[in-house]
Amino acid sequence: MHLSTSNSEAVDLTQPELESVRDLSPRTGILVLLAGLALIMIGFEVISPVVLQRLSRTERRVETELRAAKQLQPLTPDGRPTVLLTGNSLLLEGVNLDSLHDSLASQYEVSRLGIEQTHYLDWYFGLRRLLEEGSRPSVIVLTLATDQLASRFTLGEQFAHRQMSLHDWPLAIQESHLDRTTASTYFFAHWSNWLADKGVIRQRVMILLVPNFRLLAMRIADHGAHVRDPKLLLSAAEQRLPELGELARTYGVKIVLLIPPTLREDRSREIQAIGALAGVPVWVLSPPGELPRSLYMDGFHLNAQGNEIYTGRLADQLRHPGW
Amino acid sequence: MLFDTPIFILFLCIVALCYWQLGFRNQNRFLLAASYLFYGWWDWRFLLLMIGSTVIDYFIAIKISEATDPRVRKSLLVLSLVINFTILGFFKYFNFFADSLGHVLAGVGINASLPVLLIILPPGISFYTFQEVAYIVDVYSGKLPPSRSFLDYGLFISLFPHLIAGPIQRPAHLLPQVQKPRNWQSDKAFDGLMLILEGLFRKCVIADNCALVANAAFAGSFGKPSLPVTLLGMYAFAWQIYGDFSGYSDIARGSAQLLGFHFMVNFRQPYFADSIQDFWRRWHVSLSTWLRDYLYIPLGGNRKGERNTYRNLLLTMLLGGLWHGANWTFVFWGGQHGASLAVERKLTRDKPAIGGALRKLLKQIFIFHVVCVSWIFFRAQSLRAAWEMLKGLGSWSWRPEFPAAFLFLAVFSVPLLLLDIYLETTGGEYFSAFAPVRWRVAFGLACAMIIALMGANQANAFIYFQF
Repeated sequence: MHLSTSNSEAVDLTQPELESVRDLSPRTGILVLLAGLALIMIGFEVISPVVLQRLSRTERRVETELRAAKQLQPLTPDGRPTVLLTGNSLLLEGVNLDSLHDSLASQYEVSRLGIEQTHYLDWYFGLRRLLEEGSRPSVIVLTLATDQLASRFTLGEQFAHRQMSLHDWPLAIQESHLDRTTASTYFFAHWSNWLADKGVIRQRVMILLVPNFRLLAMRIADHGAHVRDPKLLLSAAEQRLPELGELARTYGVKIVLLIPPTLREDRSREIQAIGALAGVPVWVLSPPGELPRSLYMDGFHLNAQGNEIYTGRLADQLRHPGW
Repeated sequence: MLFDTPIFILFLCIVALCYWQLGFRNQNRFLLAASYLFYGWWDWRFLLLMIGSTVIDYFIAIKISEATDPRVRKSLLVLSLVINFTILGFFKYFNFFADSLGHVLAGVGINASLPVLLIILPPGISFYTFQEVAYIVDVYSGKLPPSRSFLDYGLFISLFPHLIAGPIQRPAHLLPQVQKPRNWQSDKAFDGLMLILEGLFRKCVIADNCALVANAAFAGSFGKPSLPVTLLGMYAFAWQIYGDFSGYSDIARGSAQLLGFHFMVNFRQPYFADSIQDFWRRWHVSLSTWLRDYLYIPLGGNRKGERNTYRNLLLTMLLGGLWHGANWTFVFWGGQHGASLAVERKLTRDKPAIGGALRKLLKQIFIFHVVCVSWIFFRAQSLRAAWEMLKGLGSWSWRPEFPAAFLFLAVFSVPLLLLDIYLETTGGEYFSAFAPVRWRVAFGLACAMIIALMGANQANAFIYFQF
């Protein structure tokens, strides 16, 4: 009993010392913590593109399409002109690529680069980078709604990483009216896989954690402010369509603006006239309100039936482009 | 620079590394330059305004201490207050008062076209103005000798961790720290790093995610206000603003600690308050104690009878509300808190507190909801929008995305609730504050992983930056 008590006392006395011997000093703690943080950053930087490719079908598609777009030359080896369709979900849902590809196979080689939630600035700078890097499709069809043509919105860090070239950084900042802090984040995102990918990876985590997250995401996603003021729409077109025309002339490609069908008045006819003056064809294959609501999934994107009609019209237009 | 951006992390690393290589006076010079760079990053014109305001108060404080005639001293005090509040009033409230006056005149049939100026609000002006006022008042009342070094005073006002959104530092607490050499203390620096990580967790994981739901609810993306929409908006904003501001305060305190400074605690688990008075002892402590010491007590506090006490409470909170922003919604929010404090005082005066865990819990839940309702006014764009949102509590609608929205909100608010339970029961300043260092390192790294994986992608400026 006595022994036991003395043993117990001995243990009590030495316990804190043992604990402190085993524990790290705050100085070592700082070093380990900083080293750990650096490792985490490097780890995410290296792993995120791999993880993303595995997790997301969309990211796989975009990467594949981007790689293919970079290789495009004006003509295929058998002499057919190449057409690159670019745009956002309005293109992805509105045009059936396989069907278009098949119906134009004898005349064109059609490929696509579709990135959801992208607007004009994503594509203006995205096309500049693509063309700088050697892509030379014969025709680029840029699919944007008129309010997206006027928008200052970009896809943020993903845009900075995937579509913006570094020397366009100051211009991209100026055009999208960003403050210095966001501008600096774009600068870092241009180099960083993680900054660009984290949004998509987080989305995948949320899909796992929250049932029906996709439904919720449609409500909480930031699509940027919609430009509805006709004056702003037209003045943006007056500034931006000549920019596209200049880009087309610089690289010797043809750029066409394709305005997808809408339920409401979108000033597409006026923008078509501005495009004619700027030397950029603007295709309005379905005037506003022509296609009934039943051909839309959600009031914006066409459903399968609408997509079939619209793809047919695009194929006809490409067969007889009128240039 | 926002605290949750790569540029700030880089800035902080460079500043901390260079700072500890320098001697005391050079440390102050370097920090002042770094703080001015930090502030001028937004707009260098705002920097000139802040420097101008700092210079004026620096000299007035010296003149006050040198003057022997009480009337001269008082005149100098009034001069400083007039200058400070005129600058604040012009930049923050000119259009608000011009617009409100226009409405009042229109109401009595006078159509006066009052000028509306395109004024950009300088970041942090409310915070540094309050800090300057506290300094002048403390010097006037003899609590503090004036700083004889512009370098020290300038650094006290502009030290970058507190510059934009506080915590509002008391001169008697921070100025002596600026004036004395600071030594590297590994344990404090380690705690600072942990506070920064926990702050980033609160901001990027909790606040920015809750903001997605709050923004959608208040913008009408879930449809017209109804019970589920209003609850979503109300709860989401309650956790957003708490995560946002307490996260900011933690990062500010952690950054200061890395540089050898100590800042006061700004939040003490406010949603566990069991009375409105208790809430204000826990929420934005640096502002509530400022309002108490420099407004409520000079007004007479509770020393001049019950009626005057209620008046003082209401007036203090109304002005506290207005301090937050130039909108009647903030005035109403402040008034609601002032009225709640007065009613609470009336009801509980001279009555002994009745104990019991269940009773306390029920009171905490009740107070949380009183605070949540007040957040509707704080968040809404106008009183009309706030009223519409509030009316939603009486109507019903359902959409398929609501269960996901509530679950999403729970995923991001429950961790903060659990963290607060831990902090409330242990008295620690951050999670695992009393654990061995190795466990704290593990927690810090886990926290970093969660921030990396779950931090919202959307860059949201800190809410209090606009104040």
